[in-house]
Amino acid sequence: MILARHADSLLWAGRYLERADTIARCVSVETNAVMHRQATEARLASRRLVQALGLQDEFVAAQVGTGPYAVMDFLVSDDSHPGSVVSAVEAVRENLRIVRDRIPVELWEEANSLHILMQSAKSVGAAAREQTGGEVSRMSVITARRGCRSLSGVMTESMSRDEGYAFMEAGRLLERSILTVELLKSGLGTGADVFDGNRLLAFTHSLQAARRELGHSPQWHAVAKFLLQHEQMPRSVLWCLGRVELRLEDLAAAAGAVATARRRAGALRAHLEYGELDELLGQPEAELAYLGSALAELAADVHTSTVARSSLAEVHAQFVRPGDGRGRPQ
Amino acid sequence: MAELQRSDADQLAYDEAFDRDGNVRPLYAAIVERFSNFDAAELRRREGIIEEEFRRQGITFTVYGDSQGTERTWPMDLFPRLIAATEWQEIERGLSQRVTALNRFLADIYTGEGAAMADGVVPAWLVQSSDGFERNAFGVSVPHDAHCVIAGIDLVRDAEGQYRVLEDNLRNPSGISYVIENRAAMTRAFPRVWEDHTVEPVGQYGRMLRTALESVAPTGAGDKPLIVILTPGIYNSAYFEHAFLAREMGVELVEGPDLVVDEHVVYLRTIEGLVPVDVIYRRIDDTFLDPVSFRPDSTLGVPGLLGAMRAGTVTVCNAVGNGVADDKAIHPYVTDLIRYYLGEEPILPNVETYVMWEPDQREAAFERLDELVIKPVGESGGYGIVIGRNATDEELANARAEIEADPRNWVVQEVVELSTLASMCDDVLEPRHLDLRPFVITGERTQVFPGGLTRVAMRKGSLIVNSSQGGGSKDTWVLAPQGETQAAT
Repeated sequence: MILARHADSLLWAGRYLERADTIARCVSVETNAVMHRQATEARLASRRLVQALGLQDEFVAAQVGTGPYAVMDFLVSDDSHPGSVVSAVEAVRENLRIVRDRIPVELWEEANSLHILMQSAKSVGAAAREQTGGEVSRMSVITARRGCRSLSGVMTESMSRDEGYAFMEAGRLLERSILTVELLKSGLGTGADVFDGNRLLAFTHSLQAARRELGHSPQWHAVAKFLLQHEQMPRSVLWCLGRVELRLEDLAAAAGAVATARRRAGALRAHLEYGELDELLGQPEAELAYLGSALAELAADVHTSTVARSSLAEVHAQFVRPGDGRGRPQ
Repeated sequence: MAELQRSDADQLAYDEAFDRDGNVRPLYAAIVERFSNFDAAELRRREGIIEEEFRRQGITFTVYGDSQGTERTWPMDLFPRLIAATEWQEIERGLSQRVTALNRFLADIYTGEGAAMADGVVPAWLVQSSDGFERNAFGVSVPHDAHCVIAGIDLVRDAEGQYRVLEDNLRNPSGISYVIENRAAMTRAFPRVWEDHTVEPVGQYGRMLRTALESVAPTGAGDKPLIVILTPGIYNSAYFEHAFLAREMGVELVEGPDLVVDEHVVYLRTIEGLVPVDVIYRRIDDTFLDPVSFRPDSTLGVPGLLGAMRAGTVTVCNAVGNGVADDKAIHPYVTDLIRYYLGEEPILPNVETYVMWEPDQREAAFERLDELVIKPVGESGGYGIVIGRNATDEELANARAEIEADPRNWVVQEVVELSTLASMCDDVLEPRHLDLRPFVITGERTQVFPGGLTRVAMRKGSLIVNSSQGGGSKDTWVLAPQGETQAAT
């Protein structure tokens, strides 16, 4: 049994955990690249990353400085917007705090410790961080990546495979799929800021595995197939959707409300598994747009299923006056 | 070697560790010996271990209106408080007796005939004018008459070392989680101090409380009643404790909107739909419990909850209306209530308290207000207290005027020179004042949890121990009988 509110918190804890991990990894990949590039070129690429992560509006609003490390700082340590690593870590911690009583103590302690470490970097202040040549944010990235790894380790090794786990795991995998599709979009086109295949694989933690199969200079098309359709790679969208389906099956016995989400996940999985991807990727923008919106709708369906099935008819009597109790229904 | 300061020779208060001649009391001999071997740097290092551990685990409490953010790490002093086995047995008997009488009193008021009022033990008008007196609770019976399942009774030790009851907390006493975490922290920071003592364990609280809560479930609930803890949410000052207790008992931690009442049955909103609830250990105040019966603007509560209680489909702990029995104005009558209901002499005396609506007592108090403590009846957490000897003439005159304007709202107590014990202050272990809040659990029977929360005023000379006002805490050891002999030899 799980409270609807708790299910919701765990779903979001999973999503934010994946988000923190992915942004930290992308920034770490980008930072290595920045050091070997001209400032203007580097900044352009970083802007593209901001766009891929869906933070365009936040970026404009935050009036990010022009220093070489300003974009990295915006993505890592700036808590004025919800898309930074520090904000995502805080959201993980707040959501886990709500379910603190039902998750393993270690999971809460890892999240709390990571939050404390990230806060101390934040408290240095943006100007001071820039002066260190991005050192502070770079250290934060290392801290965040390590922290996210131990969080997922504790989650995998000590969480009971109950409904709470199903929601948290589903949240992670959905967020991962969504981010993978968005990152793939940033490899399309011809501009100087387009990410090449290797970069996309590094962003999605797939470079090593892909190198064995695709060689050293994979084209976008091959990378897209790898990240969308690979059956053994835990970063691929197909793999994630298969796992989401399993988690929703786990929940089906308890919550009839997941039926819609299950159907959608199955249909989307079949689309990737049996669809002619080569043909579909002939119009890559259209296919990625379709996948993006289908995943967003799936995530919304899973979220909706956490809302308890208590219709108005069931709660109509909540304003009755005391005094005419008929006792517990049989 | 750290300097372990003896209490001042002219100190009026009883020192727990040293007698008036500056000799270590036998009870504390071994622990004083151990601490004497640590220098200040070593003690600071171990203090750091505790602080870091609490921070990492998020063992915090909230100070409202604090600019440093809402959560503060729990403050724990290194030097433990020890209670000898024989001493504890006496306290245990006294507390059990007191809480039993208070539960009888509550049952008498709400579901009985009001015998204590009819027989003149407590004035009826005083009961009815109490803020905690709740008409909505009339006729709502509780299994085993356990109106107060969890009580926290504040004890202090006077200049002779006699334990006295300062206050009863029968509504939502907090602090038990810190008792257990203090012990865990002490164990990490001083792994070897246990070699000299056999200390009563504190880890069993979750089981003890769960058993009590199960025993007060409504008769229709079956053998596995569904128990929940109702919290106001993560921004409440005691949220850590609410989550801790849910974890220790293995029950759901819920907020008002997670519950819904239909046909006088309380349900939990789960992803499976609605599941009926049997027992609610609520950590929100009476007035926020049910917007239908109490404050209509409360969003923390559950509409219709009182109706369900009344219908007997759910038990709410602690019961509604307990505030009448821990009203500071009722406190002076509790010893008489013990005699009245149980026919026994009270084992634990009260702190001497004067009631301001009795003209004789009021006039006598006015003669020497500068020697007494003036307390508003409706406040808690140490707020609004005037300590006569520290007050200016103007403050005393104001207090006097306020008492005259509304005598029901004030009590005046003798100053108790709270006992002192060595506490870590600026690299020296200096005596600081402390109190003790033991917890008393009532289900089928009344049990006292060993030890309790020792709170300590970290400012020199201060008598205010509340954590919301900068107080600290101490690990509190009740020694097992064999441990006592060991320590004494």
